[in-house]
Amino acid sequence: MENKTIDRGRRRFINLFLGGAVVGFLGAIVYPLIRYLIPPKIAEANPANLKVAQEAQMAPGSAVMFKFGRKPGILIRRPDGKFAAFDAVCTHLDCTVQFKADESVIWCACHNGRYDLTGRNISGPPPRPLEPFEVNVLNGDVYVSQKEA
Amino acid sequence: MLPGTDRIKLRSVILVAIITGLLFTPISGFAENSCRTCHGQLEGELAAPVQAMAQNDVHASRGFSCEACHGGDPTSEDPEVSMSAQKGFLGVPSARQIPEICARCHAQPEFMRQYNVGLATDQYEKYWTSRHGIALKAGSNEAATCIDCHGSHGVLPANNPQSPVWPLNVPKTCRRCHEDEALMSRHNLPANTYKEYSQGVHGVALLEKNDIGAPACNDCHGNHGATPPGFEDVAQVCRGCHPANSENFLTSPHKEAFDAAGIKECLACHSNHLILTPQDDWLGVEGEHSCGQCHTAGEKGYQTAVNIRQRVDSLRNREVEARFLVHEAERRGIEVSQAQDYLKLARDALLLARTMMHTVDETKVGAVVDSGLVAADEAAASGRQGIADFRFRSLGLGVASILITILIIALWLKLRQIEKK
Amino acid sequence: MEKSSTPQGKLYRWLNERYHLDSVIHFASKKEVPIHRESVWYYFGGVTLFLFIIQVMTGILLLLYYRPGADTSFESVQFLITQVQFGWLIRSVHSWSANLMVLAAFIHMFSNFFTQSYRPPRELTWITGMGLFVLSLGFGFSGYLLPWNELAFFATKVGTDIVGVVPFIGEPLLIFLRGGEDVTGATLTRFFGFHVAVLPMITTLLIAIHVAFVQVQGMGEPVAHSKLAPEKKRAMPFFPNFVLRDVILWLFVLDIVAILAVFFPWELGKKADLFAPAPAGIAPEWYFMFMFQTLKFLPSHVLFIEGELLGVLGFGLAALGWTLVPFLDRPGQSGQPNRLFRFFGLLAVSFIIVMTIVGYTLK
Repeated sequence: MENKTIDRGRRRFINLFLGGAVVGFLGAIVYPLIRYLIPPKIAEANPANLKVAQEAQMAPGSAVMFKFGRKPGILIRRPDGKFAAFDAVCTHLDCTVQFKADESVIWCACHNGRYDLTGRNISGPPPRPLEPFEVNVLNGDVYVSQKEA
Repeated sequence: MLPGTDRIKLRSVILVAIITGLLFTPISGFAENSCRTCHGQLEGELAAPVQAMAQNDVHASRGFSCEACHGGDPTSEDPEVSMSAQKGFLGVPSARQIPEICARCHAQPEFMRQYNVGLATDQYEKYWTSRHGIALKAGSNEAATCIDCHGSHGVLPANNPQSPVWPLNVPKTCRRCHEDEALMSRHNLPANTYKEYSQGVHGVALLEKNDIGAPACNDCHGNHGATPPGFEDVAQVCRGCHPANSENFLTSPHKEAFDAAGIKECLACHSNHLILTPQDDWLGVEGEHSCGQCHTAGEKGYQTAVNIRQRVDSLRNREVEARFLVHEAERRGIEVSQAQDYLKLARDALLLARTMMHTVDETKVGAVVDSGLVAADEAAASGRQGIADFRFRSLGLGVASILITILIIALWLKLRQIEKK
Repeated sequence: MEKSSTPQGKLYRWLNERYHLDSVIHFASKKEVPIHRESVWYYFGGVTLFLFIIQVMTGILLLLYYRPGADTSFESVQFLITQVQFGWLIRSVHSWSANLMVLAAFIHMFSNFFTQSYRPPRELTWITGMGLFVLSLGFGFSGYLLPWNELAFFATKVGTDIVGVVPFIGEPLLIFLRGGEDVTGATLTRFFGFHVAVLPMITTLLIAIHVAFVQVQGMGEPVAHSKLAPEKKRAMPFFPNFVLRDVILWLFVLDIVAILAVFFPWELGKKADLFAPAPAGIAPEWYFMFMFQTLKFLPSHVLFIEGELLGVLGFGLAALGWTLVPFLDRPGQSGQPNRLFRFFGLLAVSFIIVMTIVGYTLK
């Protein structure tokens, strides 16, 4: 009789303990889960198509720098009004290139490397042309995207 | 009617075209002839030209054979005839004859156009302005001529990577003479230039890293007009590839002061052949390359040097610290690509500060350093955040493990209770 | 089950009236799991199943942020592990759990092979199990590419190349797998489809059949144990005793996965570049290493046959033979383990282990 009461007490304790442990375990699972489901504040950057500038704000013969994913890029409005965009990393030693408006060339200050406005290396040490990006103008906005392979 | 001289020119062009048309059109490659037949059967030195010409010789591949340079008559099987003076046989040309032999074709634009439209024809003219040409004219038989750099038999086009004048090979080609102590001392020249060059940044970049953009000997000294850059020209030469440094230098008070004191601009600190990677301690006032070479304590310039050094050091130290923190975060498996971007900005600023230093303007250097410090701080903050994130992860894991363990214990107790019955 | 007036009791009664839960529990508790020296291997099937459940759950979570495509895959995974809270955890758990699942499947398969559990009447359990094993390798292979990083890109290139050497069907199969001549964004889209739709559907179905077979037939016993007199046999009820043990082990495994995920988060590496040269150290996932290494060792030609083709055919035949083992290994009069098959099993295990080690050490 006595044993039975002890047993019942024990059993209730174990069940309670088990219930508590299950709740604790579920907490450990559900907490990160709920945090995961909350969308991050920074909306995902859309690396496929980056709005870089507005057409009206870029005079022919000017350039803006932008960041494409992790790489610096350069968007140029050529004197003829057309756009071109390139990976702004010099193919010689990875310096960042710039637009030289007076000569209409893309220029690397590190070792005086020069590229024409189609990205071709024309003088100095750069061994290769700059990687081009695709440029599209839509409703007055200039978009840059990766060139199709 | 054409004026007289033009008529003569036209006629000579036509003539040359006809002759070359007759002589060379059907032939390409190193044709069989009596020179080749006999010399091919000889041994050693006398056979070597045949073997070399049968390789990718640029002249042979365009149908030029031995007689084009050596004269003689390759159609005759009789050595007495084929190598006779009547047939214009030259034998081994002397050094003095070589530029003339090459110039017979290479200084003729109309002739060369048939083979290579893009090839310059001013090499002969330039050669005589070079130290090599001047020495040759003065009667030296040791001066380098065309063949010393380009080779003689088995000449390759300059844009062939095997050619001795391909950028990567130029230093080794120049070295053949310029490292010969006896030869150099006869002409009052140092024999250690190659050694110095190869240890400097340019030599390492070209010879070890195969960076074809790095200057070989001829990029500073010229090639056909090989001349040491003049006193004023030294900086001009450096400027070709280091525009930012030179721009900064030219606007600095040093330009005037160096000119007045007769100091060779860039060379004062960077030397010429043994151009070492610049170190931050060249800034400041201690050491053989430093500002302390000229500036002494108490001067304004001395103080500026101390201040600029301190600013650049502060950025470098902060960048090193940030890099360490980012590395620590990365080591713990935290994604650090954003921190890496800031690190890159900080490193770029450091590089720019070292360039800007040539203005010896404290405020200009300071502005660059400040922008770098902002980036370095951002990177360091990301690194610290990453390390903190890792602590949070470990803590979370600890809590979760405890909860899992408690559940395991509870289940085990339940199991025991069930199995006791 | 005692009649209870607690809320759980009421709910149980309500459900039981409609779905006859009593009979399910009755079946489960009457079903017994034999206790003997080899009992420990019974748990590995459960562990594999548990890891598969983790895969399904974390996989669904990953789908909330993952965006397949050559321009977006890498970026979205990077976003997931840097910007999404606990995103790193979900991805790491998915990667680690995947590897542990393949490992558990390996152990489960070999333990059943060596205890001859495939013998009649369990031939179909073995065959469905083999199907599941191949499917889990397919999961691994297709999932590896999805982050679109450099290593995965080249591993996929090499892996699909091997498919191409199969005679007659190799070339069309290669094009089918890659979605074209080369590994491109089209391959990524296909692999994504296989990984999240085709494979899970087939796998779930097969698991249901596989587990149902086990439930209907009960656990297989080793030959020696089955010959014991009934009074000498020991067993425990499937429910709750065995199930509770299962759950305890699963929790343990879960903790290991969490520890691995925190201390060894799965690297993302560099984004795949279609034109970059293959980086050094291109290796498949570890469970393909032994095959990869064997193919590397084969000479380019054995007699008139291409070495690689020979290897692929060899592995294909071995897999077929392995699948058909229940029909090849006819139990003898005594029902004793067949020495020949034991030998082949040991040979296979040592071959896999040695080749895997060689693959990782030989540079």
